Amino acid sequence: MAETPASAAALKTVTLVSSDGERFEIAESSAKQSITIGNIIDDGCCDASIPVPNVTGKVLTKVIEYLKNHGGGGGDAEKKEKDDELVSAPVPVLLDYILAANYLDIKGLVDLVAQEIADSMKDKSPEWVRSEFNIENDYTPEEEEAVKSHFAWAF
Amino acid sequence: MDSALLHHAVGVSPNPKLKRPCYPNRISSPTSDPNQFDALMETFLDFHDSSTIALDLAIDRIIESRPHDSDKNDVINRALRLGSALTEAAKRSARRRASMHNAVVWALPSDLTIKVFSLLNTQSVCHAAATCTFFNKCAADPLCYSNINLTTIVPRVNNIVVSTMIQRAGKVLRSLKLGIVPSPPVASLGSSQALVYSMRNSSDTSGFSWNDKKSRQGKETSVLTRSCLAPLIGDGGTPGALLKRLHLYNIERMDNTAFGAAISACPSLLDLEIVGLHVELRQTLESVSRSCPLIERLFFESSKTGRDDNLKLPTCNDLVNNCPYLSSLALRGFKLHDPKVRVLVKGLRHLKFVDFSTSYAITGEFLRNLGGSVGGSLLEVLILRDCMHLREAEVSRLLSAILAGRFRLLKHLDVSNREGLASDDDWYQRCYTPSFMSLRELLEERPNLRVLADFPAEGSFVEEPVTSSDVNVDTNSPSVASSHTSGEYVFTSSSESSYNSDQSSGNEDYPNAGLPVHEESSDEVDDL
Repeated sequence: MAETPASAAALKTVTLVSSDGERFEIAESSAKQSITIGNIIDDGCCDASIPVPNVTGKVLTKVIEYLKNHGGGGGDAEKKEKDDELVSAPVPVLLDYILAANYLDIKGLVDLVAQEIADSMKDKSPEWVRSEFNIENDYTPEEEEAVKSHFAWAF
Repeated sequence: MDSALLHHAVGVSPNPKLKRPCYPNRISSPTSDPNQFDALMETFLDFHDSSTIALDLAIDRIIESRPHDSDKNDVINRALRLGSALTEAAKRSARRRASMHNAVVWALPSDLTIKVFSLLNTQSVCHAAATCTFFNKCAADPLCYSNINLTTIVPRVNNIVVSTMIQRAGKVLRSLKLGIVPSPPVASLGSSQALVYSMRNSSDTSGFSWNDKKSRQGKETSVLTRSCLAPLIGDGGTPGALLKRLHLYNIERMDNTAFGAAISACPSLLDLEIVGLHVELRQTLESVSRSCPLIERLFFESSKTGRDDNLKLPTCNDLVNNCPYLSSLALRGFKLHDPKVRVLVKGLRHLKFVDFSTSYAITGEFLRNLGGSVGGSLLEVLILRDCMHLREAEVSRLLSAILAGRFRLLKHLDVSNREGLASDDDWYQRCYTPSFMSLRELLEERPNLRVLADFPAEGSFVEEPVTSSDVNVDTNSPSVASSHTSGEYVFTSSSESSYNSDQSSGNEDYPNAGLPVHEESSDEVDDL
């Protein structure tokens, strides 16, 4: 842990503004886990705050929490606990998280939420998946029959 | 007024063959005047449900008003067609709306959806595909099939399914698991539970009947044949080229040739697991030597325990020379001779995990002088469960060698045996209370070493591996001295059978018991 000028840079913060005008301050180093934000910073446009138009304040709060959690320092168990808490949200919220993480290009968060969504779908019947994700059946009876017989071994 | 509108509705598709002198108010075709048609439809759709009686009466009146029988029937047919067209149009609209609803509720684009699906097992991908059209589209992406798992408990998968999945995966295929696995595979280190499954004898075939009519009809067969892996070779060998893992279980019809051909298309293979296939040890090892230079793990469990005796020294040498990266080797249920096995353990420089459970003929001699510079020094796990000819003397020798500092990295040793260990001269003579004198000392010297040596019979010598954290053992047993060491080892004596239930070999294939029968059954499902 050398005391370099980098430690001064580590204190540098950026401000992110959600689509509904909420402002969030975060250390630059943590923010750069988002490739999108990182590019904006590197392009030199971060004196003013950085708008994040696709993400609401509610979701951005959680994204920022994730970035701070993984921004460096802290034990693995602690990080996992916070991650687990993040993904315990209901499905529609998880979908919001992954969309935001995708837009902001935060690989770790995309993977984390994708895994959680996949885990919830694992070994469940189509009917269960539909009800859980509020999806409607838009097949014709013939199409549905064709799909099911195509994968007959799985049913 | 209702019946007039019905007139229009029913008369809307003009049939030039029929004369209609009395219908002057017919609306021209919908396409030429959409607004009027829309207005008509809207009025029609506004009919309250209670109008059904009026509807009935109106239809009757219209029919009445037609002079000829053919005209009357015509009205009825038109009404039926109209009703049906209306139903179909409504259903189509419902589906369109459902699709739009889905797009809102599942807001993820294809690439994110595919990412989620790529984390699912194959069966779940199929279930997802059946939920809605968007999921079906995403589920067709190759990335969802990088790891294909088509193992089932009873026969359900046929060649066509395998072929479809492999085609879907294309170049992205990395792992393929196929066949019948009777119960979730027991992956515990100490188990020699046979995964070999005989379809005729298993009680798991509840609900599945060989005489099932459906399964006899043409393509409905749910049996994998010898060419089930042909898709790996097809298309210039692309699917197999980057395959890293191949696990095959109990595919009754697989043979040496077909297997060898499939393996030859998989030069990138790292992990090969074969259980219950009717392929021979020598040919299989030769195929692997020839085709899979990068292989790191080979797990091979025989389908004819004890009867496969054809391993030759040159084959062992070839394997050692051509597959130097092998770090995990399991050959279970074969007749293995010490000199040949020695070549393997000595020559495979990266070998860490060895399992020769239920082997015949090996006595343990192959381990002499190994564990140091001669070879076998990286060994971490050595499992020799239920090896009929494993000699007590050789095990003793091994333990002394470990005490003397060889096999420095060994963490786990298992010499348990349902029939005890063989004594030196006559393997029929069994030893149930091996006198491993150095054992206590050994475990003090090597606290990280875990030794399993379960032998049967009452009053005999049993020890149970215990983690070093807390050991508080009940030591009120009669004859054998109890000892509590700081290592992972405790002697107790018990008057019950000593088997840990989850470590029983479950292997009926002992020399005294009947050997498994794997004949082709005559009333098997017709092949395509």
